[in-house]
Amino acid sequence: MAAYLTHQQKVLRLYKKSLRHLESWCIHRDKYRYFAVLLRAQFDQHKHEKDMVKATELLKAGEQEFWERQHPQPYIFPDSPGGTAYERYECYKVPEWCLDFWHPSEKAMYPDYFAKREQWKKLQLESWDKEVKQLEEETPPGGPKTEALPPARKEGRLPPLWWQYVTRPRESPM
Amino acid sequence: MGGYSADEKLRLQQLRVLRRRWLRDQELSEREPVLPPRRLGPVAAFWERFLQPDSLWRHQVFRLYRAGVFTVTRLLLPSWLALYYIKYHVMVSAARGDRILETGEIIPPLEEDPDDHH
Repeated sequence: MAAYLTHQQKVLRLYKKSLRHLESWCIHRDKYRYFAVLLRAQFDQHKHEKDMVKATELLKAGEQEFWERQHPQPYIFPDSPGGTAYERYECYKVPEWCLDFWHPSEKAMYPDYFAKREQWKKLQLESWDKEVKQLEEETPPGGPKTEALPPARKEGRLPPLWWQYVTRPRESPM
Repeated sequence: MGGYSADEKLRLQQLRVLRRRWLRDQELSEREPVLPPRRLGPVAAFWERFLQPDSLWRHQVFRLYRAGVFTVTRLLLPSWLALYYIKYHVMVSAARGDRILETGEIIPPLEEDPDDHH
C-alpha cells in the first residue's frame, strides 16, 4: 500500500463510482446495462493512452463530467460510510488484552481456553525479538520505501508485527 | 501494474494461517464453562425439587387435578342439566298453573285478555 493513489487506481475508482451513481439514476436493470455499456465505451476509448499529461487531463475531464452528472441522493450501502449501519458493530469489538484483566476466579471457569491463550502469548514473546531483528535487517539505510511489511523469510519464524492482525476482534458479533 | 507482489502474497498467506489457528483456539472446549457447585439453602432446595418430573408431589397434584376434572365434567355438569330439565320442563308440563305452597292447591292460569292493545 502506498500513500498516494496511482493514475490507474484513480481511473478505476472514478469508473466504479460512476457505475454506482448510474445505478441510482436507472431503476430498471436493462436501462442501467445500456448506459453502463456506454460508460464503459467512454472509458475504453482512451485505454491505451501513453501520454501521461493527456491521460491526466482526460481524468480531470472525467471527474468534471462526473461532478456535473452525479446523483443528488445516491444509494449508499448500509455498512458503507454515510450508511445507516456504518460502524454499527464497532462498539462490540473488544481488544484481546481485556482478557488479561479477568479475575482469577473467572479465568478458572475456562481452564482450557486460558491455557491455549498462555501458549499464544508465549509464542508472541518468543517471536517478538526475531521480528524486530528481521525488520532492522531488511530496512534500507534511508528508511523504508514502502508501507508493506515483509513476510517471514525463514522456516519456523512468524511474519513481523503479526499479533495485532491475527488477534483482532471479529467484524460482527457471532 | 496493480496487484500484490509475491512477498505481500506470502505474508498474507502466513497471516491467514495464523488467524485460522487463532480463531479455532477461541472455541470453548466441551467441559467449559467449569462452574463451581451451587450451594442452596433449605427453601431454595425445596423449590428446586418442587414439581420436578416423576416426583411424588407432582403425581399427587396431577391426581388431584384429574379428580377435579372428573367431578366437574362427569358429575356436576350432567346433574345440573338433568335437574334443570326435570324442574323446569318435566314437572311444569305435568302441572300447569300456579301451585300454592302451603295447601298444594293448583290454580289454573288466568284467561288471557284477547285484546292485547290498549
